[in-house]
Amino acid sequence: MNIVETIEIVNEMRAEKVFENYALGGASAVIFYTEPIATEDVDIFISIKNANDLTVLTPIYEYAAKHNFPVKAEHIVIKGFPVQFLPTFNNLTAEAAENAAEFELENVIVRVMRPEYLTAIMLDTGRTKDFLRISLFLESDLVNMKELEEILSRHDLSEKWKKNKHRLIR
Amino acid sequence: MEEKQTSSDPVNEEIWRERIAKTKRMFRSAQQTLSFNEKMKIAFALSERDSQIRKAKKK
Repeated sequence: MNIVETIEIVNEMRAEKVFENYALGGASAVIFYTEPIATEDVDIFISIKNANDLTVLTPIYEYAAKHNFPVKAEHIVIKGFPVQFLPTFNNLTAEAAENAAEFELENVIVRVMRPEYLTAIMLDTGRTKDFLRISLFLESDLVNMKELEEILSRHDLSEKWKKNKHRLIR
Repeated sequence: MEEKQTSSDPVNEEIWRERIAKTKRMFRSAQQTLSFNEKMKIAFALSERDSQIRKAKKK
């Protein structure tokens, strides 16, 4: 069981045009940059044409069936890791996937949402665990504050940031 | 007779702040030596542990 093998398959899916592009997001992306936190899946945000179409995930499930990857509820188990494919659902997540950073792991390229976008998405989502994760990011000096403020401004999140900033920056 | 230090003692607090900072530095250094794969395996184990705790509480 190696996450790099899982990512290798995701790269193959992109190469076969199952989706246009992808980026690791959610808790797995936070873990990529920081420390292990509890998670039950690997979140892969995908860019797809006609994302409003109800059959948007059909090519993914067809790919899974063709390659004998088990499907468990909303997850596709790829090389031992349950993966959830999430179509980007607003301008912020689309921009985050588009501008993902690329890293190399054991000769495999992985696209990971940048800390500034992850912070903006977590602020937008706004659950308690999201605020804890933002604190973790800020404490680790991972966030370029100027870039973050530009993203927040573009996506109407500046006010929400101002309201919560004092709880997040010590 | 040994002098008793309290948490309000500024010297004591300074020592503790330094110890906490040192622990954080060591922890971060350890994180950097863990591969993404190792961190993900720990993350899934943590999730499994949380799930077991939730189940035990329900009983």
